[in-house]
Amino acid sequence: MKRPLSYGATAAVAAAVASVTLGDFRAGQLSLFLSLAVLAVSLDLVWGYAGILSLGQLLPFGIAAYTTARMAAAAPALTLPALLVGTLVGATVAAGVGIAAFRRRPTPVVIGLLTLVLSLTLEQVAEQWRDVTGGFNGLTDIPRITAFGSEWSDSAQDLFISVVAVLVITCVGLLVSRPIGAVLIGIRDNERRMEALGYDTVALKVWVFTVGGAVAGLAGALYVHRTGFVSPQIFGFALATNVVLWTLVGGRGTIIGPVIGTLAINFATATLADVWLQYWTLATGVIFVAAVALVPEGLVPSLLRMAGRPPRRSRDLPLSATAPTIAAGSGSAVFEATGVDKTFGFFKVLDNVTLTMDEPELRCLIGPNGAGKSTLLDILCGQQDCQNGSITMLRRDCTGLKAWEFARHGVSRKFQSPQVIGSLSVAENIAVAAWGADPSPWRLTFAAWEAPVPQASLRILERTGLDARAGSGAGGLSHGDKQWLEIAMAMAGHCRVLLLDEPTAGMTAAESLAAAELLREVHTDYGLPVLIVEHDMAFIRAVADRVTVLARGSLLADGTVAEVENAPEVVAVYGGVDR
Amino acid sequence: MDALTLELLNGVSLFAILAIVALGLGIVFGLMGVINLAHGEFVMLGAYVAYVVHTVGLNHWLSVPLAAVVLFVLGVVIEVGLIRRIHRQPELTILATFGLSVCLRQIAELVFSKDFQSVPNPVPGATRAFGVLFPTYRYLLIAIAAVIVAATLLAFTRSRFGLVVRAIVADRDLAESAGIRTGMTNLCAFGVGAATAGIAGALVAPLGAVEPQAGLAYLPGAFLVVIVGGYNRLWGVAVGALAVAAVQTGVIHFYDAVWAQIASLALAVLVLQFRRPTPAGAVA
Amino acid sequence: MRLEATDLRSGYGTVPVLHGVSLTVSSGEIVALVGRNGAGKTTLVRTVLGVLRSTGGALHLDGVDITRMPPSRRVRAGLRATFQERALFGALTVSDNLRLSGFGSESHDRMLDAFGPALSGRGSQRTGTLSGGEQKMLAAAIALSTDASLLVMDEPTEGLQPSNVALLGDHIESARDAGRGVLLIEQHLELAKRLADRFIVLEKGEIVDSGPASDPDLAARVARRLLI
Repeated sequence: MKRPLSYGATAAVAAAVASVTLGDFRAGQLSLFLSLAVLAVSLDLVWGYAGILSLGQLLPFGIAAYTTARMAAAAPALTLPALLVGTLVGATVAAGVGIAAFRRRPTPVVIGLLTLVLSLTLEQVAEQWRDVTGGFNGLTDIPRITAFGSEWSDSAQDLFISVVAVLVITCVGLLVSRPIGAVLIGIRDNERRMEALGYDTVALKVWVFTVGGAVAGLAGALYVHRTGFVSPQIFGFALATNVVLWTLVGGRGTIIGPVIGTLAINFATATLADVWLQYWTLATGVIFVAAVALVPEGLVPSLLRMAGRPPRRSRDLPLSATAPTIAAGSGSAVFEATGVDKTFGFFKVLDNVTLTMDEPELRCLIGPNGAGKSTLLDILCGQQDCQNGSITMLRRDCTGLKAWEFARHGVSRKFQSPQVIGSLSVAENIAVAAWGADPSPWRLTFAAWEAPVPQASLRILERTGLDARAGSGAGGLSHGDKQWLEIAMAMAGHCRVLLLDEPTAGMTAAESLAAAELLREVHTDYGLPVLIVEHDMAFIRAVADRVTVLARGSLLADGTVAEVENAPEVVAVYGGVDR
Repeated sequence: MDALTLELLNGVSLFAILAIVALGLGIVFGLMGVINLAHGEFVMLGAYVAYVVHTVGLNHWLSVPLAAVVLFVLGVVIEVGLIRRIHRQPELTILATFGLSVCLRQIAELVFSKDFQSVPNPVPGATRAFGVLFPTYRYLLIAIAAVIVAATLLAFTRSRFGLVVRAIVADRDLAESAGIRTGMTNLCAFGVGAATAGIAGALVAPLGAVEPQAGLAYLPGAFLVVIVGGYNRLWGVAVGALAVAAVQTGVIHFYDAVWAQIASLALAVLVLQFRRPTPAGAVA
Repeated sequence: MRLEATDLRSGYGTVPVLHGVSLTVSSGEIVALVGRNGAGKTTLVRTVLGVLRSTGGALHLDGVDITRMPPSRRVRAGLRATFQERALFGALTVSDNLRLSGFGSESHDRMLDAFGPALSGRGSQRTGTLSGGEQKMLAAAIALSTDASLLVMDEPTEGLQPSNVALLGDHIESARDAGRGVLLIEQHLELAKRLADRFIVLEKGEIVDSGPASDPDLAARVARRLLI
């Protein structure tokens, strides 16, 4: 909180001093480029932080610019309120695009293309719709900002625009330094993990796209006052390319990177373009290609890394213990999956499978490869739909619900290969998992950097030594530590039943047995029901109350470890003796 | 009645252009998963090949194979120098080809200047058929596009190369395991994709101005075709081109080109709403 | 011809699966690789073929270092593998699958006939419509019919009916007798005992036991390890 604020205040003062001392020409350039930097930062928010490649960030920017221009011409006295209207228009436009585009989770490529085509289409619309947009030549002679009874001078307006731009950039910097910033990074790094923690990632993406649209809208409103005209090219390919270039070269995922990128490239363009326009444009293209191929991360993050600092500082934060994990309660059904069918194409993965857990227990699900174990686990936590059958979790019919709804209902899941959020610290991973229980974006914007975590989760961290490394990046952990971190994350939210997919994959025999001991301990101490998919029989013998065997999509056997091990049909499937 | 026939013919010729422009985009995307944002610039360069052929006084039809060769070579160079390094990261390929498109436009501007050039229509005049007069060159264009698209589809369904391509699209690892050199096939695919763009450019050159920005005009239509048609089947490109051309022609008939563009955009958004969602976090 | 893996390591993403596996397969030898689910057998096959990149160690085929080669070059160097799952292009016809592996259409009927009634005359059928067992048979038939000098077969008999298991066993034996090396991943213990010259037991990504198939103690240990 303190760092972005003090940097922002310093930068605002610096911008004000520069604006006053540099002379009219330079001050004008500064205010123009800073308003473009706001646009770049809005792209950075949605792309660099939340991972949405938007090639159409000019949409809210340009529409807000036209709106502000029309308002300024119609009611010169209201230019300041018009800036707010521009912001709102930008937000509305972005919200509409986000809702239309994100709902069915298209690939980043499709989102990029769609937003680009939208922007290019709007360029044509602006050329044709002469009554409103002034057609090809656009709207000219837009008045400067008028307030306190008079139209401002150029230098006053430049000062105002520069300072406001820096303040807006500071606000975005503050936003991403809040818990919501960590959540957005989580969505960028690992959307599936975030859904399994209870985050409605589609809604969150629409939210951040809307906020980004508001910022771009304000940028457009400032820009149009500075330039004094607006033409359809504001939606065009050239500017669309450039804003991506500034952000990419400067370094997405940092706030200062895109600002530096925008200012540096634009001042260079302004200086070199007079003498050298054609070659300079070619040079920007070459820089673009080179940046993608050589420093895809961007300059600022690459320089920071060279100086031995991560681009984003990993954060340790207080994890306070809450009451023990709420058990489902003895005698109540934990889950009940009835008559589940699942086919992929013509291949039947699950054929009328019924799996129930009546009491909180430690159950293992075993079977040969291709038996459908992971698929069944996916269905039990909403990661996949099933064709037939019903799923009741913790006495609520969950059939057809989404993964994040399962998670908020208390169904937690660890995936087969460990899914942690590599760009965040261990403590942040746990905190993001804990916030998943109540993940409203506004709450996470103003919430404190602390997380109440169930004791079960803290116990795992302590016993595996992860608590001592709470501030280090999760991406750099060893495979085994990632497994444990993910298990702790699964328990950190509103966890009432735990599904584990191959928790001992990649562990040595000794580590597997230690894992069995720890899981038993958590189960007995907190009464947490656990369902584990495993292959390792030594581990299963040590951990399981009961074992269910799945083979070729059907239930084969069910009972204690000893019963199952001696069942002839199980021996047949595993030993391959009687085929 | 005649007006309707004319409109239909316009629609068919639009479909022909869209299909042939989107074809290369679809080959490259379907086979390699690479969206080439510089595809429009490949079309523009093809048109400049036609312009050069015209200025040195050669026959226009020579420019079609010549553009194919020039663009094939350029495509191969770009694949080896750039795409090969990043083709497993779709986001990076979008950005790299984005930058590439700036370079190609600017190089064209440096070489040929910003001025609009024109290539004379090699087959001036109109033909009377179906009771209306329609430019002969457009008839030819439709025929040539039909031949090229059909030949490509046939090549991809009948020949050994087509078999190899379909195998790679289905499962790259398995294809490698059968001894197929997928790297070489990628190279050919990008080259062929660029070559079809060059052919498209040479063919449409007489219909409009030849200028460095000309490629941009094809971009939205071609992308909409890819979005609407789905992204891993060549037939999808044909169907997508048909759908977009139908919507655009239909709307142009009643309103104008801008509404046509908006309508096809709406079609793309609509198609997106009904497409099976990609699972969260699914990355190629 | 000889396949030699030295301290081979690999895994998926950051997940290590093979923790340094060293083995050799000589010409005219069948080596059976056995181990439970999740032991890393399939990972080993994928790493040897190069579909999965090794993270350490080396692979040599007849003295040539193939560690960094893409799969297609390894295939051209004389290596051939069949996969446990998705071993064929389901959307293509049987003949097209044969063509992709380099068989001219004149040889198709003869090849299919050689593998018994399951495949005979099925050339024009879409491969995905064959039963799972027939597809397994076809994948094995393709690998055995190539001139590859070293075969790696991942559970070729899984899902085959007994008569086909026997037939496939005969073909693998004659491949050995023709001087080819075979690395056979096999859960079907009876068949493995019948065919193999040597056994290698994999557990948690490491070789925990190995020896000649004629050693009765080893056979007993293998059987014990495979039963749960």
